[in-house]
Amino acid sequence: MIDGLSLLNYKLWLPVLIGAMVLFVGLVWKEWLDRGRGRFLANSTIVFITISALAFIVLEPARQVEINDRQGIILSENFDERQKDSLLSIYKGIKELIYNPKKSVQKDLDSLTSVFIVGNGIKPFDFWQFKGVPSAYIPAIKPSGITKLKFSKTLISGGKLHVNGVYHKPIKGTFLVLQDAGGNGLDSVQLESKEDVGFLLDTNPKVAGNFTYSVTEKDSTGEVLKSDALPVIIRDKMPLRLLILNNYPTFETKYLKNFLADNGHEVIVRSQLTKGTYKFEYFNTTSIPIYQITDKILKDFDLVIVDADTFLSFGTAFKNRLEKNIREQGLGLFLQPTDFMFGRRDNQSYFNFKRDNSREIQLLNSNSIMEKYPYSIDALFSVQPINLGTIATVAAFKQLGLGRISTTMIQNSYQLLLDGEEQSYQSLWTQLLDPTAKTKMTQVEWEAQTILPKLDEPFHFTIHTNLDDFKIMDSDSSVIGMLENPQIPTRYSGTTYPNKTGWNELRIENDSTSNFPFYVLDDSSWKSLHIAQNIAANKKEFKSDLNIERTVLVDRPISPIIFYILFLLGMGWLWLSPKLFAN
Amino acid sequence: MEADRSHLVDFKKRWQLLVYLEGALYAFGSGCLVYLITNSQIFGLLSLLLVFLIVVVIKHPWRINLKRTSNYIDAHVSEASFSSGLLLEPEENLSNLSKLQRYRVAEELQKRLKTLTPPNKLIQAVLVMLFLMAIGFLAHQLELFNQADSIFESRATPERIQFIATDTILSETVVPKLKEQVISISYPRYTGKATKTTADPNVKAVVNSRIRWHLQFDNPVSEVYMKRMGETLPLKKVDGSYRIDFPLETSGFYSFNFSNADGTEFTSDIYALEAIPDTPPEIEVVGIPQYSYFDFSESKVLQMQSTISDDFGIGNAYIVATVSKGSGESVKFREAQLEFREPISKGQNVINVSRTLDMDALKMEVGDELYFYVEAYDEKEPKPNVTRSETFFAVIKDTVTDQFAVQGTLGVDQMPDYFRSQRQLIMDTEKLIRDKPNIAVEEFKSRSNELGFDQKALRLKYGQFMGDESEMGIAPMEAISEELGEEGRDHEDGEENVLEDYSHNHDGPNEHNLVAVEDTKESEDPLHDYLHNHDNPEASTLFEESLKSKLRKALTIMWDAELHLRLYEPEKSLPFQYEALKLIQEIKNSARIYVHRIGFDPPPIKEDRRLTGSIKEVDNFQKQAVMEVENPFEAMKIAVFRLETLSQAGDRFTEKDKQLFTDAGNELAQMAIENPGKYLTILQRLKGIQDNTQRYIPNYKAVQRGLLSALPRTEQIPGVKSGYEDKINSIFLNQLETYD
Repeated sequence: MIDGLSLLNYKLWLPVLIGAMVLFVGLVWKEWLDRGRGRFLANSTIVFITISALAFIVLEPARQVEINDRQGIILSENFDERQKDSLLSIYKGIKELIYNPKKSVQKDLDSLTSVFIVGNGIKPFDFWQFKGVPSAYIPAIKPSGITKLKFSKTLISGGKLHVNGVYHKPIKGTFLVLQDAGGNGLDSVQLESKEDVGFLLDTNPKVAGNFTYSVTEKDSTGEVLKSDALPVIIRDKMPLRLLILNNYPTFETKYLKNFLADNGHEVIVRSQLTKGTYKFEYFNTTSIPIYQITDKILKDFDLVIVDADTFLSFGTAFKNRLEKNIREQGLGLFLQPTDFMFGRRDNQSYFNFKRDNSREIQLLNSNSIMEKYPYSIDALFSVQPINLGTIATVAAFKQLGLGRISTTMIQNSYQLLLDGEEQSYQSLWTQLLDPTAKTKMTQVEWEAQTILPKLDEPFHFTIHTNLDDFKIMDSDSSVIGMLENPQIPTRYSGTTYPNKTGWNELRIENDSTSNFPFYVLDDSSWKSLHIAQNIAANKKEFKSDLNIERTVLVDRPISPIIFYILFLLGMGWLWLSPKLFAN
Repeated sequence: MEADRSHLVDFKKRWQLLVYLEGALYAFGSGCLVYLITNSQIFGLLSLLLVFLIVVVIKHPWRINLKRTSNYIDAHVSEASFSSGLLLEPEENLSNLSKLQRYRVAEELQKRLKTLTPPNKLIQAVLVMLFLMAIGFLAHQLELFNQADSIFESRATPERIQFIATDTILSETVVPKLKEQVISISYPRYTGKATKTTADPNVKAVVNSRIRWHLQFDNPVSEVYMKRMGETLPLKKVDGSYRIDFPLETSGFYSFNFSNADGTEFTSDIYALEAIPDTPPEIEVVGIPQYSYFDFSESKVLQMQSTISDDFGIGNAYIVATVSKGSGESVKFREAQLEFREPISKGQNVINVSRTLDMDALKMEVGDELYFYVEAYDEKEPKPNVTRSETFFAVIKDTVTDQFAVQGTLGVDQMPDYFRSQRQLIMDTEKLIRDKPNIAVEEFKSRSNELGFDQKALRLKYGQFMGDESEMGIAPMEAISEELGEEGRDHEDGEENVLEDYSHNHDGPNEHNLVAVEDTKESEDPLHDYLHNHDNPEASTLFEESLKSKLRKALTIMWDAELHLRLYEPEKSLPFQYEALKLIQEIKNSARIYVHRIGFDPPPIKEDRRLTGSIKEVDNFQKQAVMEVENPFEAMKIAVFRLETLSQAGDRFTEKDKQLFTDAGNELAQMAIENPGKYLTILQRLKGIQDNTQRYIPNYKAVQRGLLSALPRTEQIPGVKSGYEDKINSIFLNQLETYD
């Protein structure tokens, strides 16, 4: 009986109870004074009933009822009036709710059997409130502007910053300009008038650090329409420590070592002069004679460059040691090819070569024709070609454990330097050595899940770490709770709510090396992009139409009329009875 | 009766006066408004006059005449009984009744007119004036028109040197201002330009101009000095003003610094000094082809015209013509300097000159060749600039020539013609000895001396072969040009002249002036290491050792031969000459034999070691080097990043930053010297950050922008990347390999 009954103004029970008690005691005391006339008990009962009726008028008792035809319409930003009006005319008594990301709508949703969402939609972080509520999303029109965006968030110095995306319904003649932190234009594209226009902008950043580049829209007269920040982190490269082992001094090595040494790398070159006699050259490092190449020596190097003659003449023990270091320490090995390397039965050089009889090749962005060995590298499963802009694979690396082995078919690359194409030479060797060199291990790897975080909105991120006990702190030094992935124990995810725009930073407590900078945008940035993403997320989350209704239990208040009547009758009796029975 | 009329006239005058007053009030109001908004008295006065004129034109008070006055009085004064017009009429014309009325009206008006005010809108005008003044005052107080203000301001003093205190905390100190700033540029005398006085601190002038700064401050200052490209030059105090002057030699930057009475330091912006070099004259020769060929029978005349121009005036110009006769061994050169038809007047910027070259007049015969070019000097001091035109050729065709061909295995005739002249010398000497009794002593001496010179010239030629420096070969152009500018090339018969006539540049590498001779400085030769060095006699590899010593010996003997010729003893000289001839003959023969052996000279083989296979002495070789990584823009790069953090509010400027921006400024200054127009503003702003006068975010942004655009492209250099290696990744990679 009590089941299904509740009080609507439940929160008022205490003051109402106290008030009722006071009233009750007062009235009963009054009856007590007149007890001589009898009817004390009867009157006290009536007092109780009257006061209870009064209390219920205030507390509003309700009864739970099941309903299944109570719809709601959630009006989110930028909704279409006509959509709202049509819904209102179809569903009589539909409840209108205005969506505000800063307020919860969950309470209102509880009494609704289904909802329509119109406009730009619900923010993804509010989706949980709609779990279990049959919801349909009627999207708003996608705004004009950049609706898809992809860019290199972190770069290594010397790398290229690519920004590509899609512009929805551009005005003809609109320019998109990629600008650096100071506002210099770096790359631009003029958009045609089409439904969706893809664009690609790129540049070579000049300086390392955390910078806010920007994508600026200008009209055909050059007037700036809007500008959105593009936070990019550019890291500096660290110098390498290389060991070059040669059977005899070559020009190739001479120029390569000069190039490397001039740029601050630590280079040790050992070239054999005659049996048991070597020429050692030490650049930017202390001199240690290297006769026996031990694990201890190899451990210090990032990259070993060996000509094929030397490599093939190594004993098995040494080769095993080298391979162990490659697999376990991530050491890089670059094989300088010699004729000796090709056409061997045994697969000692890690690569398979195909004869292609072409002895010349031209690299991308270079005017010089270069010599090559008349072979190309067979791109087997574990062999990854290094793209130098040529059709045939003339350079490749092979993953071996943590390390890599690479080689190239290009011969006498110093010809580029002699032709004055210094940039091409630098670019060639950077492309060859960069993927091969040892990667410096870091404790933590950070990854932002929210690409363009906004002020006061959740910023999701994940980290990979082998650390067991660590604390993640935000810029205000408050600790962020991390959630460990049950399948991958080294993966954690967390969420923070940045409270200032600009560069924020996450860090690991007591570890100053593993900082994670991220840029927080204000609400007005990338508006069209965020709206488009929001619409897409809503389309994915909600269906486009409603065909089921859920049943909800609703507290329907019991009509207070009965309490009013009881109260009136009771009071009337209490007032009248002394007069009626006075005589 | 006139008295009656005079009341009306008075009234009319009062009325006019009030209208003018009204106009003046409007004008004053708007004048005030404009003055307060623009802060410019001129604009205020102008608008005051303008508004006054407009109001007066609209109201035209001069049209208020007596008739209008009387109409007005009739309308407004009932006592006038519409009869004030009668006062204007001559009394005689009026009827008696009219006279009576006129008298009555005159009586009444006399009393009434004193109290009657003419129609006016003075109150309205006063209100409008006050309103305008209030608006002006408000605008002035709220600085609504600051921008307009700054526009006027900047137009008024765009070129004033601005001083800013380096320590901004002491804002209450008196800031001495420049009362007077005069920069005068005295151009070098030869330019013929008058001294220029300017207020623009960015100075642009011809090299060697003298620049004089003259600064006068309104408050006492001390320690005024100029900072110029790292130098600190104090200014001299003369009669209360500060002065400095120096000749402009190179481009650069400067700024002024001074301290005021409290010891607070002030600094100015940096300004550019641009030295414009005096360009050498330009010569354009028209009317003739580069190569002209004539048959002997036709008329051999070349009509040439030339336009010579220079930025500050031409000093001199002429044609240098050389006639070569004969070929092979007996080639002879004759050089002449030909004046243009028009006289060259000094100091003109552009001259058009012409000249007819007649081959016959030059005594040219069949097979002779004429080379000529135009040479022009400007008036630059101390050394004039010289330009030569390209060389033109004129040849009289010789149809009967026998071609000389070198026989045998020699591909190239290595023997220059003058190797044979020693024989000629001997013959001349013998002739001189024979003639001695028949000629005067003077002539004997002179001829002997001349032979000595010839001998010297010959020796020097051989010396060149040895790699000796020639002290007379191609005389440096600028060195000789000074006297040439004055006297032309008509030298007296001095020593140098004889030599010069002998050695007129025809045996040098630029024999026919095929390549324009430029004023080349001795620059670092990038090919230096890869070439045989012929300049150094010790390193000369033209001849092998024995040949070299032979030639050296021949040169020594020639010295002796010359000595005796100079001492007028040709008899004693003769044996030396013969010996020299003999040696030269030998050299000539051996040179023919060994010409292919120029190049690698292998070391002698030690027979006792040959083929022993011993590598005992081959040892390990160690070489260690630390390379200085050249990064000329290091500080600029760091500064760009630092500016990014500074632009984000909340970061403080530290002492370390000051050093950083100083370094960045030095790096940028290197670029700015080459391109001052582009980087000067950035450099000025950077300096503002450095000395704490412009440390605010928009300036940080502007400097960052400038630095970024100045930085060159990043070079591609391999390097270590950092990354995280997960256990799961390792397992995955290992699995991949097993299935490979």
